[in-house]
Amino acid sequence: MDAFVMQNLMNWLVLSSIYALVALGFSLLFGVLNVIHFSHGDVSIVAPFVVLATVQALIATAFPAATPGALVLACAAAIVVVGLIGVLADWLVIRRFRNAPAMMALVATVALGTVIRELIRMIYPQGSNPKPFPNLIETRLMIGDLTVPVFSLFVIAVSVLMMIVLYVVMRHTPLGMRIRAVAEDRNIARLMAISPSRIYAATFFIASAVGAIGGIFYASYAGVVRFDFGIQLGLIGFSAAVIGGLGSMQGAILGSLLIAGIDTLVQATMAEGASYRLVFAFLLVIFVLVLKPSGILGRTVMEKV
Amino acid sequence: MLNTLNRRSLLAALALSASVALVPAGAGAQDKQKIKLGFIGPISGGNAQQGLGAKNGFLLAIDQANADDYPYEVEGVVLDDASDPQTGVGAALKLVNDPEVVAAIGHWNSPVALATIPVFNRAQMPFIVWGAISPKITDQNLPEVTRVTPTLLAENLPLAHWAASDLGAKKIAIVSDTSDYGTGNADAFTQFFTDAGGAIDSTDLLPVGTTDFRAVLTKIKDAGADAIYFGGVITEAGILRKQEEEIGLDIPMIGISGFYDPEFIKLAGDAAEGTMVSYPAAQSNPRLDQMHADYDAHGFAEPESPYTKYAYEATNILLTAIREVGIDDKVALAKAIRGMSHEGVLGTTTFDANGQTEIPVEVEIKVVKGGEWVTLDK
Repeated sequence: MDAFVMQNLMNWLVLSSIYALVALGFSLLFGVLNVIHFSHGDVSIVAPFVVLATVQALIATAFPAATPGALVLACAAAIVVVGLIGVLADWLVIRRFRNAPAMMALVATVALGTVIRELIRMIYPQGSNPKPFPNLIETRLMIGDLTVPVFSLFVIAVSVLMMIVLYVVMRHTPLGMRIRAVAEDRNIARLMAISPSRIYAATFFIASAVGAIGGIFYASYAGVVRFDFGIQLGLIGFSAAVIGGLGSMQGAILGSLLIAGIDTLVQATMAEGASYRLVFAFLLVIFVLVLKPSGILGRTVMEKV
Repeated sequence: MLNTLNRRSLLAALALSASVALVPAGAGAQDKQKIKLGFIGPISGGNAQQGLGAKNGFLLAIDQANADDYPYEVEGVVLDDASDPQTGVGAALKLVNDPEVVAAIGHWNSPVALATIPVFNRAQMPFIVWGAISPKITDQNLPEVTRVTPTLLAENLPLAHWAASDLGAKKIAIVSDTSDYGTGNADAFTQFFTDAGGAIDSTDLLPVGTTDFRAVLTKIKDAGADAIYFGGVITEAGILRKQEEEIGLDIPMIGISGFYDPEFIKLAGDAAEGTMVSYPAAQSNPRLDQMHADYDAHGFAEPESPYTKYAYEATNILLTAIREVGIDDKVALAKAIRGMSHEGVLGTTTFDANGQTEIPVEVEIKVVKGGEWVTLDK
């Protein structure tokens, strides 16, 4: 296969992986809580800012210069911090809409997203401006004509790993069983001595921490990060989850592959396709929703009466 | 009823006595009428460096006028357009609705300028563009609008000739943004480069805010272009250049002044090395040197940007016109600006029939070397 096709395949897989990390969070939260957490993208994009701030703090104190160690430590810190921000978002805002129609939480989280963006802008020094974000792994492999950044392979590997871990956690651990029990029926779960509020907190932590990895990858892949990148990341992650079927983990992955696929395909093959890449991506969303409103792998949503 | 009336008259009496008390104090010091001049530019967002430098040029000119024996007491009103047309129009409306604002200068981004000039036109407020370079801005020939910077045509023409001859590029791939500025650049460069005997391999326009150029770059790599022409601005230029290197596409990136900015080097990092842009050659004249010195002495928080001198000049043109014609007749003021022959930091500025500056542009090529923009040796 020639280098052109290979390079495009590579672009596609990396983009899909990043989108999937965000889409999984949407799906998980919808599956468990029946909540569309529209600020999930904004929560996720906080992560690269935490990384940048932590790296600077580490360089100022513990490490004499920018070392890989500082970056790894900063990423770990960011994942935990953003996980907690997710829990906080639930505790402050979303939990108040547990018994309200799903639409209420959706609108509330749209507003919450704006709050998060403006907070990044205010708190981070010169927060309006784009910040250069380091490439997590600089090394590149040359295979014939093809340049393969090790970072791209790393993104794909981590995403696949996260999917497996999530699957195992959900299917084969006591925590996963409790999460699924709460998703099934909150009241019955309570009768079985499961505290739903703890399960909600755990779910928000997991979804936001996975989203944080997606956010860090997104920033590192672009090479810059800006306070409002969460809008597009969230929109695309959400669309991927919707196409695949909200609530289905496999669906989120499939949806990400499809959205990133059409994005890459349009740019690679159509003349001037780049101008319309998002148009085609969202046309796909409309197309799937018209044919199968619950998404490709989605269960039919029953209106609770 | 009686109660409110009493309260009102009481307030009026108070206000009256206050103003009576204030007037002698004002007259005692210096009886200058206060006027405001407006500035709009990107002072936040990806192009903020350009806007901040220009803002300082604007404030510097005003401070100098106030320190001098200028007939009015001038206050500068600085508003942010964040490179966003909507925000820009909001700022423009704020200026035209303020009766104290006499005239304004503005904009680094052409799409923003194109959105706001109808507002200034309706309000008949004289407006000088200090940074936006789309030809469409002065093509409309709005009587209030003039511009002190050359258009993008003036920068693209020599660049295209240089690319065809000195750089020796035969096939160039164009990447640009979908704004008026981006498409204007793409069209202008396409025409000039094909006229110069080159060929345009592909044209890809991406919306402002794009963060992933890999698919387009992969296509360009496959097609085997000799160089990439980028027609957008700083943030996207930085991202593009970084990803170009990452994807292993080892061809030069060229462009015009739109990303001639230290921020571009910060964003692209080491990948920025070798990027080339055309930029109006630095003239050296005593006035310009004086401005550089004054700028440094003023102690602004931000360093001078390439557009500082344009904003400084635009402000001085406004101040000179206001000194000559006064502030009451806006139409006469606009006319005075157009008819002016202004000796300043840019040389002798005169405007053509469309309000476009007639100062000839001599363009030189700037290249990133050792993490800095330097002038390319001929």
